[in-house]
Amino acid sequence: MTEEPENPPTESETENGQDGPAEETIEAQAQDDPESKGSSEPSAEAEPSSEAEDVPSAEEPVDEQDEVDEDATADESQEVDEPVRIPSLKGLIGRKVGMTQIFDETGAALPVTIIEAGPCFITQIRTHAKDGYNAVQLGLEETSQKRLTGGQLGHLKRTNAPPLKHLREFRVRHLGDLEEGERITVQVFQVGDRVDVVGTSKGRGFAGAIKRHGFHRGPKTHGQSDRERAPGSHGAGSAPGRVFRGVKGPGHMGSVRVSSQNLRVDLVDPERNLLGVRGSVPGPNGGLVLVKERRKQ
Amino acid sequence: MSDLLKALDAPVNENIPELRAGDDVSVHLRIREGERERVQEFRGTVIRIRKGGNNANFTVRRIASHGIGVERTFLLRSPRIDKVEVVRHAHVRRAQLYYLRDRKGKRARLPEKRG
Repeated sequence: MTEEPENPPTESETENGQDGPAEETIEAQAQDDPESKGSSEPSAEAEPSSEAEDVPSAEEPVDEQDEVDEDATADESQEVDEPVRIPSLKGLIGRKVGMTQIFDETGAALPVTIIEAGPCFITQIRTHAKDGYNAVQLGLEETSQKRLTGGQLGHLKRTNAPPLKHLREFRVRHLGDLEEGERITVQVFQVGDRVDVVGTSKGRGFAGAIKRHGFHRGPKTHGQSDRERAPGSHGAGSAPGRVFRGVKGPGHMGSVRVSSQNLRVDLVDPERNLLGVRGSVPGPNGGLVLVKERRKQ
Repeated sequence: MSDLLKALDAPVNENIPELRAGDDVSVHLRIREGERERVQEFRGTVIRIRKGGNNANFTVRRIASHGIGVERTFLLRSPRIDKVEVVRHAHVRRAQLYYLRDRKGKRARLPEKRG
């Protein structure tokens, strides 16, 4: 039932391979959505916007990676009826909604996790010159002013962002033409993109060695009274006379930061701010997740 | 299920009537062979129906050649289902007709629904 990934990530296509999925998905979306058919050709309104995007980024140090990003944003702007500037940042904060199945154009059922992502605000831009690294700080979920401390409010006020509950940083290679205070929506992603999703795994409390490390269980019979889920030996006896560091045993499990890498974006719904990624995503439904451009290209 | 997930449900297939356990049905399935698309038919008895939005499905059981039982589960919202025809309603007293798996021949028949 599952569809073959059109572009298995290989070393050789780091330069050109990225254009492939982007173009294919535009065709697919044009079939789904009759409205976008008229604008799928480069129209008069869309043209100046793509040129305008080229201008500020031309000042950037020209890099292969940068060129690919520009192509993607230019394509996206042609889909939309009005020329909307789509920020070059591929990252969002969101909340996991849950898993379901959706059907693709061929009728295949895809297992997807739905993430309610964004809209996020750029609350700060960290530059190599000032901070030693390039990153974008995003904020999610408006809240009341009373919920934030004075320091938090002051930080947000700098960029005229509303009071936001969650702030997270996304490392980026090039800052491009991003501006502080800018609004980021799911439109930065396209169907076919590959993303990493970071979340906090479900807490399992104090878990035994079987659940935590996949140890084997003990025998149920032959005179065994209390060995069914026992972890067994922790090591030798008088020499060394202690348990080595890092020996696997029972302990706290879960509630840690977990990344799911290289998930395919199967659904982008700008109306409801929803993203659908293939497969599972760490954490409970309602948990905070970060959606980023995939790290391993 | 959350409302956001429900919003993503595929539209209900108008060519699928309401199904009940025990119905004799003929499921017309669109099959893609290379470039060509054709319709395949699967006839049998509905032995269970499971609800749940996009995941809703039903299982059809039929006896193939040499008395081999074949069961196939279809997703109710799948766009690959062309249409479903109900041939006959049966009178059954439970929602899951798993007991049909243990029966064959005359004992595997279901009485027709009255009235």
